[in-house]
Amino acid sequence: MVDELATLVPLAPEFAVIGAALLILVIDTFSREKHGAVALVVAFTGVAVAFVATLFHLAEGTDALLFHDTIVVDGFALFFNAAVLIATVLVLVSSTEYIEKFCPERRENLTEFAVLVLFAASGMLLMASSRSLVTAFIALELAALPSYALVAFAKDDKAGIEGAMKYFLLGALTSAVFLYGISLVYGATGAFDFVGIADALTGADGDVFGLAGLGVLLILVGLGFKIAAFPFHVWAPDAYTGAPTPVAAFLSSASKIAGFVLLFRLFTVAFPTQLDWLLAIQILAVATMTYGNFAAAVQSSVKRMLAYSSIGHAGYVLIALAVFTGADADSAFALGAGMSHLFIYALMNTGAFLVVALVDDYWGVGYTFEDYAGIARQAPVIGVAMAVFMFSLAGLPTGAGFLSKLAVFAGAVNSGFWWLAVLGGINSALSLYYYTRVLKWMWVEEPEGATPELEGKPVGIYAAILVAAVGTVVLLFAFDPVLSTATEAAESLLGV
Amino acid sequence: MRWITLLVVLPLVAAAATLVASKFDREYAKYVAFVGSLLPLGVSVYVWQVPFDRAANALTHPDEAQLVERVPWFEIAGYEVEYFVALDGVSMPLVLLTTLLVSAAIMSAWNAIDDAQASFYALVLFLEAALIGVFVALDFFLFYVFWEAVLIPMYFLIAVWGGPRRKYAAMKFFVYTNVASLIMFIGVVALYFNIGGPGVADLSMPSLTQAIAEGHLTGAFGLSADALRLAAFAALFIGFAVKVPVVPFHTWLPDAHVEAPTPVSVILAGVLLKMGTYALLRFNFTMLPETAAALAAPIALVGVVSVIYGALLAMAQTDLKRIVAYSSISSMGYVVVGLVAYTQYAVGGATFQMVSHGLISGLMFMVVGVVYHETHTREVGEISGLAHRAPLVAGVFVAAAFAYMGLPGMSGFPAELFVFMGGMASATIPYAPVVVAAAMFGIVLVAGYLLFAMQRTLFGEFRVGRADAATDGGEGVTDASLSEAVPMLVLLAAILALGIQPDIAYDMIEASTASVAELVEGGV
Repeated sequence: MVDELATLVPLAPEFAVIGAALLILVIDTFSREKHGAVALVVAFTGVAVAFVATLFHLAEGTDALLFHDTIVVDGFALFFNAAVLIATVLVLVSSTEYIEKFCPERRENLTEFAVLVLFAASGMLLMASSRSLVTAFIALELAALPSYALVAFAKDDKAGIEGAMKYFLLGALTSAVFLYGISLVYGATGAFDFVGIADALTGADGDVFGLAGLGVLLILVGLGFKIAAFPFHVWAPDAYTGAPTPVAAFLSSASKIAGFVLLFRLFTVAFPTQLDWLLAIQILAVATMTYGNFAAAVQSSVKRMLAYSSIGHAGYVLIALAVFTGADADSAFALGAGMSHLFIYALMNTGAFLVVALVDDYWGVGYTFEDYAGIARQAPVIGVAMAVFMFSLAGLPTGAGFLSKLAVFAGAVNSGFWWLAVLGGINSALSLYYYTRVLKWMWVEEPEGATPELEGKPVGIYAAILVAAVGTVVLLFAFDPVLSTATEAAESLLGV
Repeated sequence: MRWITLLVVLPLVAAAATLVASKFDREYAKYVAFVGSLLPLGVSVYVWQVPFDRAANALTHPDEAQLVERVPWFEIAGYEVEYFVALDGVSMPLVLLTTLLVSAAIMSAWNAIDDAQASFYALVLFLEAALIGVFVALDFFLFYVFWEAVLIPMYFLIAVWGGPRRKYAAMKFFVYTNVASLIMFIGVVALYFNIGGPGVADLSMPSLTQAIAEGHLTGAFGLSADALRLAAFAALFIGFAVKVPVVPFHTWLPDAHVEAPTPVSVILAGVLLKMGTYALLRFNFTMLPETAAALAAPIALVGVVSVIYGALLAMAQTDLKRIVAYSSISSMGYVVVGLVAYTQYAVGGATFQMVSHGLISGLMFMVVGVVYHETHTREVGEISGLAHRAPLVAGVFVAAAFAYMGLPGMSGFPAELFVFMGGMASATIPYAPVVVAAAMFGIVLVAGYLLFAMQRTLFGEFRVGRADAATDGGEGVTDASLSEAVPMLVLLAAILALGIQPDIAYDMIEASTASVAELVEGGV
């Protein structure tokens, strides 16, 4: 018994998060008054424990197979766990004040908010550890269902309902497509676990390949939805805009990262490149970053701009998979670069969304670029933080986003796909246009008419923004741990 | 003593001090910033005079690089990225130029900048740190960090304190140069990743230079080694040519210059453009000399076209600032011609020209700034007889114009003379004498438009405003104030000193540039 429990130690992060969620539910059931604060403290503690456990396993170099090899805890999963947990904690910290101000009628339900976030997060953690298509599907649904509810959390807000509806309908549809893809792959290979699929496919003949190839394509559609890659992105801008902004930050950071980890593991381990999925990923990468950038450039709402910019970033990260050439050092480096970009992205993208949460909703300034006029002069700390996020997202050296994006491009060049790096570079340079547009309004332009009153300095939101900003800057100088951990994880995943 | 780190950090400390001081009294900002900018100036002069020894090129002779500091930073794909800085005869003069011009620009801003002074000075000092970093970095990644870091303060300096079309100009500058930077990045990375043989262990520029010189570059992407070299050369050339800028990549420059406030124009023309020519010298002409020599004809053509076309564009302008802006394109063309000639004098002269043009164009923009500050116009047709009211400004204007024309006794003369002398003897440029003669024709054009502008604005009846206006509109016009006059006179003194005794600068440049000229057969 004890021995069996001991084998579960590698899953400590998942247990911490799920345990916190269940504990909150229990407390909520037995307490007469609703204590949102207590729920958040428990949630925060659970995530913090999970984060520490993740770091511990990373340092230990844990590599374990559990539950009949359907779940794997390795450096690859743990690295992504860390990124997901960081985004989760930032969202939790900022949500109390946000909900109280933005939708006071839902104050009573803060416990539900925390529980939903935690369940979604546990689903994301399990996505990173899935080693079988069935586990992957269950984890994906576990992450998705709470997310739908979170988008509609402000239930009197029409935009939120609309966004959640779109998200749910398309999500349900792509889940079905994903499941169908799984059944085709299973039919072709007779295996659910990733390694088994790869074994069955090596040396298989043409018919099996055709069936499996179709399945892979359908699975790609399902994951493309999750990471909001063009053309499966249509839900994203509406869901992000309609959702409470911390939820948008959560979806565009943590949820996207979880989609990527599954995509990376599944495609590099289970599906041999002979299935020709590489071309599909390349097309997806180019289309996603180009579309995301051009769409972001024409937005008039800052939040929508960030929504599209997060689509653009999915395109950059897809480059890391698009240059996959097999289990070799070049591919491992490219993959590691993509992983480190996702990690940094979790910080800077969450931070940027939280600035929007603060300015748009908490201060109620308005959602267009014009409404941001003069904000930075009144709240210079927020202005500087936003400058850090925007320039770092655009790939200028105010933060580690600069290095991680360059690492992605360098990885592409290294693997021989210089044209993907060139396209990524041009996209990245054009993205300066819309990122600096925010800063232009915040710092340069004078507001028309009266300067908006900025009431209150919410401690939680400020703290989350500052943590994200400082983290982004510090990692510019201390980039080595991130990149080397990511590269090592990718190497061990590919068995280089 | 980590002198170079000190040089990079001091401006940042000064920037922080400026921001803090302005909390007590907003008038403090300008003084703290100025004194703060004197510190790196002092350190750079000290370094030049004391620990710095006239050095061979840091890329071709890495052992002789001066004041080296190396600290590991992170590892990427098995390559060590380092904080690796050093000085040699190419970077030292440019560091001195940077520190001098920034101090001068800050003082000249005392009158010109009223709005949000503390932020302005802090950004200028931040810019200085990044610029020094560009010139001292010998690790490619570090170089690229500084290279891109320059854009951030520059964007805000133009976008916040610039003229009416400042937002458009800042954005154009930003996107234009960033596209170029990324293309350049991909070109350099392609070189690093395709070094065969023993390979390189780090991303330092000397290692890459050595490895390419020893012929370890392999083919990749279905290209042969030579084709890859050519492709990388093209990517680098485009990347840096935008910054220089050479025709046809120059269109961001007039916009940025015209909209930028005077002190920023001084730094933009004086130092930022040199980043482009510095990088061309470091990367294209030192790392890939064979390719550069093989492409000498088209590159020289680009240089000559920049000289002539830039001058012709300057001629067509009526705005004083635009005239100076376009003439910078023309002057940078000489640098390109000098570099590609691959003779000792030509490459040395090109480097000398970088310093000389930095001083002269900085001075020129200051003069134009003062004229604009006094008269509120920069239209040549709307100013006349300024010499009567502002004799000092007029005198400096004349001196700067003469320096631009390359009159003996001014720094422009030895610079251009070296380039022409070296260029004539070039073994790389086909029909070198003809090509150089064509470039020399640019001087005639410079003389043309500068004399024209000078004559109309300085001499004749005193008048400000349109010729048919009822009054002269210039009652308030006075001569330069002290804080405007001092930086102008200091720059003028530097120009004269370099004109009379070019060895002050050429002595430190010579050895480093000679090693570049030797890379190509027939370099003298």
